[in-house]
Amino acid sequence: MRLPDTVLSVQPARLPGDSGVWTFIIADLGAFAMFFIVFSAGRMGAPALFEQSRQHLDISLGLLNTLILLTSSLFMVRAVNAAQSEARRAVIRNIALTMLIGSGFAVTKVIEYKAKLAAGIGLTTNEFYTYYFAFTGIHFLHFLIGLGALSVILIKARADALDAKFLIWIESVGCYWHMVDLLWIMLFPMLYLLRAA
Amino acid sequence: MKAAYVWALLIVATLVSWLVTEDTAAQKLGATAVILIAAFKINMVVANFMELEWRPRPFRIIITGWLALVTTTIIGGYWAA
Repeated sequence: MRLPDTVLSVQPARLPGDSGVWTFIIADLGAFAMFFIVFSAGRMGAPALFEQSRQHLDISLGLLNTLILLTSSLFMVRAVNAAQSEARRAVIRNIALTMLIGSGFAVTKVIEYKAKLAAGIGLTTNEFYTYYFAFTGIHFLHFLIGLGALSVILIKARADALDAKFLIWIESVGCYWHMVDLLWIMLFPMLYLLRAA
Repeated sequence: MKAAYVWALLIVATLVSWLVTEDTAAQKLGATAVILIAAFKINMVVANFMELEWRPRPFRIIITGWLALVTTTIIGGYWAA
């Protein structure tokens, strides 16, 4: 029996970006899975302490951070789409917007950390805050690395050919940037929203 | 799905999870819903923003397994506390 052309033409889907970047993303997700497990175990041991500490977090800033990263991610997708159609100006504009909107995350995070430190709350205050500062701090480091990587592709988008090689670059940075977003999507409810009954 | 629609859905899901935490009387169910909404959002990001499809299998399987593990751990730990 002859298969229809549409079936025959189906190719295996391509992995977006570089497979090395995906290996790094998987390793990073593994590390954060450990963080989530450690936090959950800690919370089981001291639910009252975790709840009391959680109530001192600024939920509106955490919410704002989520909205910032999601919106920044949208412009990242647009930058990749523009690169696929070799629209240089749109690539540059969308990378710049990804970075500009994403930078809001740093602003709100600094405001949040400053307020905590001013209230006398630090890394060693209690178990909850140790996790809070460690996990959000490591996540913030990932965010900064992402901004650095975005700066590199912004320069490349201005100077280099928008060829297959550039596409691998921008897709890799894009997937990394979405990972930063993805991790915050779970960190936010776990730290800020898990209200004890 | 178009990226802007996915973004709008993610924003709505975020606001819903915030409202659920703020206003619900059934706190345990509310907290569970909030983590499930986060898992839904992560799956949306992986499928639509990262465009990680099922056919290059290993990465998609690992990430889906990761999401199941993380979601179960957080919800399980919450209920066990």
